[in-house]
Amino acid sequence: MEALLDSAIKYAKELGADYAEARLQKSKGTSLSLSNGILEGGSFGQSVGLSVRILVNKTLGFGHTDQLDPESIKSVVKFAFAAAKANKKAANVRFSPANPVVKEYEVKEKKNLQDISVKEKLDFLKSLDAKISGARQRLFDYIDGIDERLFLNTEGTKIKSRIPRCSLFYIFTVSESGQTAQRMWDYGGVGGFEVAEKWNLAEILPEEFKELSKVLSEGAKVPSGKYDLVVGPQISGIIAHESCGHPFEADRIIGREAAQAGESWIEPSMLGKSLAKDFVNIIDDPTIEGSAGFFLYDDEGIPARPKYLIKEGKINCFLHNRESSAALNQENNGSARAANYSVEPLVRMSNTFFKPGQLSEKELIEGVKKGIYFKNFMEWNIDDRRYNNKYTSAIAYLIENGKLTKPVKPVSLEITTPVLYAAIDAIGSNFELHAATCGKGEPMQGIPVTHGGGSLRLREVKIK
Amino acid sequence: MIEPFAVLEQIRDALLKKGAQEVVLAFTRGRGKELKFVNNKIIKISNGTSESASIFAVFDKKIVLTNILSFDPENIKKCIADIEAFSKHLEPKPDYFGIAKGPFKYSSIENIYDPKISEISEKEILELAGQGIDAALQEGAKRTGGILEIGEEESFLLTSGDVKATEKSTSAYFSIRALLDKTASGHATVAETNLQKFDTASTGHVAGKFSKMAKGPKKIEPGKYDVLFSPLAFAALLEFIGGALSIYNVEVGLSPFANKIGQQVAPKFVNLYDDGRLPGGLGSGICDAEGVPTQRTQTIGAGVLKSYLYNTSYAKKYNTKSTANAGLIAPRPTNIILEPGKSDVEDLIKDIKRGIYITNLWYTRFQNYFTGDFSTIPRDATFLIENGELKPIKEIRLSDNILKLLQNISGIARDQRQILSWEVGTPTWCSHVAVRDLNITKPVGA
Repeated sequence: MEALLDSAIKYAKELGADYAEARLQKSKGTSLSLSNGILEGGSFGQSVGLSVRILVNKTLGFGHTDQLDPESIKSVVKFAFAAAKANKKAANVRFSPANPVVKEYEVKEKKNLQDISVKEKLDFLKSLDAKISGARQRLFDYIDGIDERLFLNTEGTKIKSRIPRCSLFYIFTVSESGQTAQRMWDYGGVGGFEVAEKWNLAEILPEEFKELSKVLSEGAKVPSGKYDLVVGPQISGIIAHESCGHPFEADRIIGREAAQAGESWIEPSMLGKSLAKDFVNIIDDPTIEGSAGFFLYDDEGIPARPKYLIKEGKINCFLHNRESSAALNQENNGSARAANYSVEPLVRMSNTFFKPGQLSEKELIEGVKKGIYFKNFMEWNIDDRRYNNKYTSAIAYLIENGKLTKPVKPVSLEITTPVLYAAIDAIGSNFELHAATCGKGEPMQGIPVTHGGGSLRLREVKIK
Repeated sequence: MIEPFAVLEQIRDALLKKGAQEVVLAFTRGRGKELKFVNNKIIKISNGTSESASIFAVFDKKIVLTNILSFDPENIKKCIADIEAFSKHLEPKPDYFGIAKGPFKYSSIENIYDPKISEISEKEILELAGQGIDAALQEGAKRTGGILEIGEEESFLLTSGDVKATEKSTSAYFSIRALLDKTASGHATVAETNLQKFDTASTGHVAGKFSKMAKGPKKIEPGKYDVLFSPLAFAALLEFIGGALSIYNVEVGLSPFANKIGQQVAPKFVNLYDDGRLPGGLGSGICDAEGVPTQRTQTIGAGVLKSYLYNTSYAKKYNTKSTANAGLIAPRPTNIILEPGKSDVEDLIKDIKRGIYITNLWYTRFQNYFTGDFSTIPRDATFLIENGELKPIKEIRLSDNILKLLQNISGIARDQRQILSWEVGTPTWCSHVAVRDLNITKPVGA
């Protein structure tokens, strides 16, 4: 396969490309879907394909195919070259410099995904379903797979990787006295089946079922107004992802995603500007072992590393790929990711989180006289500039004199990003990362990420 | 190049010999071209080819789905053995009742394939995008960004139920966002099966015009407002409604329409259809995923919920007929169609004394799919309507309930068109729609 990639980039150079890279991806995996306790079906499958990206006439040309013969590959490269060359509305696409790297890495499975029988995976799902059999509707989707990638470019970089991963999505509906409430969440990580066994869902699911039922049967309706708020890592995580990670993606900042995922309220001149108190740090780190957002080299062959997006309360750096870092004349930090071989690498997050602080979550709650503890959420959204946030609770409790007293009906935090960050009063020492699929780009690319961190305490924020 | 039916027949026969009772095989060959523009410049041009074959096999109600990448006899043999082995670990689906039994007669659908799309050159693609960009700039926009996609597909379907069907389709999609400054923008898309109607220049004009109209947006107070949705905006909500009518989504709690067949879910003038035979529809095809000839199904008639979407198995479970919406596991919509009304858009605006005009939506999320509680964010040009005048506004959110939204529809314009967008993945045919009394919220700090 390496020879095919090598001949593809050589062909692009022969045509006259200034730069060329080729990316081969082989994936195989299984999935199972269990709805209301019944197996809908099981699937297994594989895909193989490659893409070639070239730079010519200050334009990117891109070709992809799953027909791995020299003629098919040449055909897509030829079109990409001719079309890029003919572009009369060329921009000035440039790449920041990169040192050639030759590396090979893999994530080892303790429990090999292909050695675990489908029956065992199904039994795992059924055991989880049984834990919430009282829910009126239940859906579990389990997916695992092994992703192998080979990247070559004309600068001498060659990266080979093999990453196994598994993930689970669930949603269930509880009903009490004619009312309903729903809970959905994702789990995921890199590794073998041992990853799934560590999710601890056999304990978490019945607890969520019980708590959500109590929200319905005993939940107090909280009047709108200003409250102190303690939010758990699921909420701090989605905040870090939506209102820090996304607006700090440099391709948004330079307008490259304007028509699709949107732009950013952050501008290049805001580097160094204070957004929060000095104990607030938000980090994006792809190198966390076992995490769903794990990688050691990005899809442009650049070494991955942790980045402080917010450091000591100040805007510290943006997420970059080679194109955005050249456009803003900033250091590239290896954040280019492509969902699969058929799409270009975009600037993406990996594992994005609030760095934990000193106080335990219990201590954060003890510091609140009257407030709300937001354990998790269901509905959320944010505008395309990442300024106008909304998070609505699924499970939440009233805090009275430093203690959780009773469940509350869904409440919403609807707030601008600057007001939200300025209200952070303390960060918990607890730390959780939660898996998700982040969507960006057109055609849409869903990639595995995590977000999380310590719990947050927000002072005097309006709750609806 | 392989002859698809020949290899599909080999696979079908081998699976039946191994004990499968039902087999559905689909082979798809696709080619696509795509162009991305940013800040008025074309920065990327892509093209790609793909061939894939999917396999659905049922052994004693145990359902296996997989794919096959190469068709040499050894690989086919290995694939069949893998399917058989995999099926042994599965459990039967007790409420699975089989695929459709053919043979069926298929009649062609007008205007779903345009040979000109197959032959389009790189120069023509660049020109089409350029026309859209230039049109938006002529209207006064300062920046534009977007994408142009051209695709063609050839599909072959073979089943153990005596189905053998093949067809070709083409698609063309252009999405442009025009920006005047950081807070004033407009978005428009065009999606067609043929180049003749694929008017990128008009689409650019619409986006550019909106960007100019959106200049200097003001904040407004939250509260109840009558809302006028553009086709692009309302399609994002209709797509959810169309999907929520799949019986699968009803069963798993992802639909607010459970137990509502026969109930008045909208005013009497609201009619909603799923139509897999619509000429020019990007979701049209001669048959569904199990080979049932496509049809037009009224899902909401005179405001009454008439039908969910079924495949053959679900139809048997509920003692009804397939609506030709397979999805082998989950039925799915084809083209979602809101019947156009008789009003002009100007009349709908006149009818709203003080309300809001939303031209695009994004990030629609549900608190509870079963009850329909949701919120969504108006994006791009958004206006306060006051006595027929449009005044740009910003930083609002629509936080309400999808069933209430349907009940409160007060008018539908005549300007129906096909929508695809970043937020609308299923072809949705929609007009401007007016809805009374919706809850508009805004964030603290705005």
